[in-house]
Amino acid sequence: MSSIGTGYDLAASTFSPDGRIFQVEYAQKAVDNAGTMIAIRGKNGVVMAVDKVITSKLYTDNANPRIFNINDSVGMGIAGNYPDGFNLKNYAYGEAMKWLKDYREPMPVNKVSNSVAEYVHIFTLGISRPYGTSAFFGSWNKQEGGRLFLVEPSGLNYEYKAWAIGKHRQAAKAEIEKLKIDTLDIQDLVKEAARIIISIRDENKDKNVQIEMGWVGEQTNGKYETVPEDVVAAAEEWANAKLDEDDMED
Amino acid sequence: MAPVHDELQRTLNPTCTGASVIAMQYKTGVVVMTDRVVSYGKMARYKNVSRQYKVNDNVLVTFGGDHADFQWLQNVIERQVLLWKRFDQDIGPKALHGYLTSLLYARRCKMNPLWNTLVVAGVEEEEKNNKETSTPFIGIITQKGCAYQVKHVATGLGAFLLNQAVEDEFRKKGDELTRQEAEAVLKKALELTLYHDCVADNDFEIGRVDANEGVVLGKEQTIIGDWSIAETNCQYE
Repeated sequence: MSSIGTGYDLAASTFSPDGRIFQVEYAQKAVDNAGTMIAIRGKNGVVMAVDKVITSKLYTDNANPRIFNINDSVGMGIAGNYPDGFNLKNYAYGEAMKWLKDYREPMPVNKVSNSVAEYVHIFTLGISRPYGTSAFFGSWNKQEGGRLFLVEPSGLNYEYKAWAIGKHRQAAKAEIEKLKIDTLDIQDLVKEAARIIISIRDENKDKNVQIEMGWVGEQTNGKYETVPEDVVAAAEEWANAKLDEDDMED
Repeated sequence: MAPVHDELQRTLNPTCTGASVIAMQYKTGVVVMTDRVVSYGKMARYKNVSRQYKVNDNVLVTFGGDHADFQWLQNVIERQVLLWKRFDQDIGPKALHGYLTSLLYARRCKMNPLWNTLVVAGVEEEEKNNKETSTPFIGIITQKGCAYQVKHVATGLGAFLLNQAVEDEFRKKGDELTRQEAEAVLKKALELTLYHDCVADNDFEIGRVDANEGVVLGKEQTIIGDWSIAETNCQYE
């Protein structure tokens, strides 16, 4: 790495001569090495899916979830350093609570992501260190349809049609681009998301993994939910069959 | 520092108010009746306003007293519900009753009470699945934080007028009241408040929490009553 030994990576407040902030880039690495997470906005909803790495068989089922509710309609998915992400979730939660107190209505998704992004940014510069986490925020309602945001360790906050982060993000993005996502409803998205996650796995390295998903859309009445285990299992079954079928054709 | 006129910072009078709440257990749930008028003093200022707040599928909170205070309370409850969801739980009637009791008591200890009588009605999620032991819940909290559980209740002026009448009807059947029977008692009770309470209204609603159906908000209903008794009131011409 060009940064090593140059001394420009010792603080998040120091730019390198070519205008980079290495500490933030290192934090981004924590996300890039995490289990792949994809999020897709479809015809009438948003689906998030993450390939969760189970580091020990002794953990209870669904320990350390990566998909959360911020309020009834806004969902969050985290990738990267787990405690950092968990803390970010708690921050987002507090913000949603404050919003509900001040305005007496649920906090909209763009406000949540914006406020989290601002916090991530100021935490890096003014408080301590970068967050080693990226966070997706999704919601759906009749008026504005599905919305999907990603907050990165740099504090960057963009809205997406679909995106992928983590280990195999490039392959995942290539797969997503092949889909006509505007025509897919959330049932289809769950299946396709499972297919993409499974298809881009490195069979030698990615062992002890589990898919966790979240969805929000017309079918869930605008409520964000962690997708039930049996629905995920059915999607995986469909995906495996589909992938086998594709292999036969080759 | 300028002298603090403490007494000026307190709600010394409610402004827009609701009157009685009448609630009763039946075999598998609770029925709660409120009228739908908001009074500004003695004037019927707003019509068609509900005093029943659905917290979730298991809990219904109903109130008498100041509307503004209750609207604030609704927000407090909403936030409490969100807080519980953070730990993957849904608040039940007993827990909410306890929470609101502490809140109202704390406020009265600050000499700044919330001007409400609250009726928390519902069924506990665990008990829903066990019909044998299932007991519907009705909890009362007065303005001063005095809280208790009952099988039937009337608050406001109804507390003076109706509690005995409602109890008599309830005792005839014990715990075996059907929903229809309970609602009939409530309607009769409303008729009595209508005759005796000048801020009671004849437009009303009956909400319920049932072990099978969860919270069902009531539709607007109207009664006329029998006003021939007015003839016998010698204050009238």
